[in-house]
Amino acid sequence: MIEVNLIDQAGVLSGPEKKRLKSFIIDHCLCTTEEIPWLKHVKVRDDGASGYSGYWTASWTEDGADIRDLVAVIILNSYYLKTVEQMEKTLAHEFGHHWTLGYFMVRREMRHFFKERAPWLYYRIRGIEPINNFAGDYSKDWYHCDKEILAEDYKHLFSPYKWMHRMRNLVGNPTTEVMDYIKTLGKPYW
Amino acid sequence: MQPVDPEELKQLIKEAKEAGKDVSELEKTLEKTIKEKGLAPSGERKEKKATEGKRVIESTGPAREEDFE
Repeated sequence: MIEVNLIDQAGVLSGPEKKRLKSFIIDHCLCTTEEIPWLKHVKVRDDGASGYSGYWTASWTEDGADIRDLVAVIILNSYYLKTVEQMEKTLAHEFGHHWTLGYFMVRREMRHFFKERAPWLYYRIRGIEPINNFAGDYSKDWYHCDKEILAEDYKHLFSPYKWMHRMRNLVGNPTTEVMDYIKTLGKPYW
Repeated sequence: MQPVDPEELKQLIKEAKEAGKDVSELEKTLEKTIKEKGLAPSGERKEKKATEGKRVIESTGPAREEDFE
């Protein structure tokens, strides 16, 4: 059975809450048997007033052009996230990074997430213009980082937390064309 | 990464209050966050030589080896 490994390091979740959060991605979000195993665990941890409610982090080995042993982790900061709904909402965004950046890496579209912009096709179909107002990193702030817009697109399109896109006032909500684009990133080779 | 700017923090406090959670510490953080205009988000990358090639950690937040333990 494929499942998400959830570690409640902060000790804030009741039994039913832990069960709910553990099954959230598989029961309610777009996921497959390919990228779920890359996710080593989701950790609920008290990181204090760090300024973030969660983040996605990944590790891999680069040997020349070869990339192997990709492992990713999602951290949820229980200092800010007090309810299981808030944790799910952040988890949907972070899993959006897992889906998009994970497939960019594995399908060899990107190697340095914040040195490279998202593919031009995404810029074109997302209609984020002028292009120079946006960046591949956080240099123009979080709201203008293309990877963060992608993660919010995933949350809006493929999780129960729709209509909560944090860049909707800036770039609008994503179209069905963007939905197809994100879905296709994880299209199996077989 | 999900940054917690003052608007986001106000929303988190409102939801937590409705759920009956203690938000006193978050309210103090909100005052501080407004004063300091929040923390700037930044991704991080770390590279370490491995037996074959190099081991890379890239994060939408801090890049920490202990996250993988």
